[in-house]
Amino acid sequence: MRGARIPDERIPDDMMRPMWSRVLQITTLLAVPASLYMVFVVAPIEEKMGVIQKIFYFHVPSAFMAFLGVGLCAVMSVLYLVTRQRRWDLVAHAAAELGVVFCTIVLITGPIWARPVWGVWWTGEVRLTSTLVLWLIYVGYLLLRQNAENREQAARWAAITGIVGALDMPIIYKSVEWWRGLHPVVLKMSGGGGLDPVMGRAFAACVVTFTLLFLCLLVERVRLGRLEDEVESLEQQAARRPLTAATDAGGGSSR
Amino acid sequence: MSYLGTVLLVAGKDLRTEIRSREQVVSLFVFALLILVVFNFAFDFTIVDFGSLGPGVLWVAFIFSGVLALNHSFRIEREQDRIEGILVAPIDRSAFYLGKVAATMMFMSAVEAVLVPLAAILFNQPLTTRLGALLLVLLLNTLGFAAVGTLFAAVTTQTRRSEVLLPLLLFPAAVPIALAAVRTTSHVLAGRPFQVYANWVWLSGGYDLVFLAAAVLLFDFALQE
Amino acid sequence: MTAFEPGTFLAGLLSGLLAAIQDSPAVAPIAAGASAVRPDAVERGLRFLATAYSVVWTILGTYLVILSFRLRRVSRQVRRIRERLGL
Repeated sequence: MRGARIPDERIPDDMMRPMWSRVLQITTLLAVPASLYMVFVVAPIEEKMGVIQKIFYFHVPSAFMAFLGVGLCAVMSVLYLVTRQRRWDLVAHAAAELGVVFCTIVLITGPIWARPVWGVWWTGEVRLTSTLVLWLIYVGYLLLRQNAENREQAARWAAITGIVGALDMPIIYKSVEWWRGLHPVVLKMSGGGGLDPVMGRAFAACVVTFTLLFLCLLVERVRLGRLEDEVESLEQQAARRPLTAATDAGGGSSR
Repeated sequence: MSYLGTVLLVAGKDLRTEIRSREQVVSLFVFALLILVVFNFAFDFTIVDFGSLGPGVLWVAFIFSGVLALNHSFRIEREQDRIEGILVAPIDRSAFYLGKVAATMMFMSAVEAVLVPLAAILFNQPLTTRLGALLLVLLLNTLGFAAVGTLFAAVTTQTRRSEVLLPLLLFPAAVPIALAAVRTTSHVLAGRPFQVYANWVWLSGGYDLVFLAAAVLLFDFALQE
Repeated sequence: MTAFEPGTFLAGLLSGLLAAIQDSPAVAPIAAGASAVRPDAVERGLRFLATAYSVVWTILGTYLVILSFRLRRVSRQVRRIRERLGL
């Protein structure tokens, strides 16, 4: 399901929605309560950490989605630079935005998890610290896009940033790991030792649900991008029209 | 003109401009020195072990003055309207990139060469005997910083908020280099053998390779109009 | 209003929910044991869990709301311009 291809023809009306998109939405709506049930009813309470361990079911899948967003953005960025087709950039932008959203979730749920378990908000844990750096890079990505003069420039610059960011991630992770390695406290935010098979199933369900959520949001965000593009091209068309009496009745520039 | 020739030409041009005007180098020195002085007041190094905080202070000074150098590097192109010339000229854009990296490295290295002994004096530290290792560490990490910095600077200096955007993009991306730089400098200044920090050196080297290669491929897209 | 008051409310809900599903075989022995030994710790854990849970849904929900709002606005814009152009 990764990299679902958005049809190239413009969606003429916001009411029209392809079938697969509806199916995706409905599946997601069903998956959410199903996975909630699995997390809170089916999965046992972990011995060491207690109930708080259940944050793991949201925290880790969110991290996966953040990485998915970053990876997808990088691939789409390369595709864009090679083909210069707008659609790749649309997906890259959407993926980066979603990456930031899920990254934010990781960065907030992480300390909330750490506080009752280890007594501190920020543990300097390797993965969380690397995620913070990742968050900063892609927030920069989004800000850079806003500061470009036009769409094409934004796409080009963003593609560069997206690729650099993705390349950097493993190196950042390693460097933070070595950096923290000298400190005796290396706290790992894992599910708690070996994963109980029931927990594993609940976790898998959550990963699936989060992925579905990601894809749903991605589709909507790409749709938004397309519509914004359409507005821009329509406005350009309108600007090129010679002024006639029939053009409009008092409606001036739409800006 | 050969590839290497272009690189040297670009770097040499920046160097000559600087020798004539001397405006940038002086401001880089002063800025970096100011940072050292501020930290001298901020931390009482008679109590705090210099070894643990000193390298960090040094690299903060280098990185911040490096950002100034990067901004300047592209601002002068803009001011003299040379960007169009570069776009039209039949040179390999990546050669232009490497020339810029070399120029930035020269300026940063000049600052480092003065500031390390100066820091030794200011913070009453014995000067290290492992000069070779120190040079290697300084060069490798400055190169990494300049490589990524030049790519981002080419982009951000085209915006209005370049002073904010460059650090915003560069600092997170340069985290591995910053960590490697501080850690290795710390080990070298403490006189520890190479094996202790060898992995960091490989990390810096790897970072340099990866991002120089990536930037050479990507730089073309940074400057198109 | 501290950050945990909504969490406390939800924690109350969750504890009630947990109590209701106590006869779930996996939950019963562990929850009973935990409650017997450190009831306040369980309560605290639930509060944090509820807060984290709220955070996840708040962030996702806010993003969804903003996205929907922008989509509707842009769709309106498209329709308006098309009408103006007579398309």
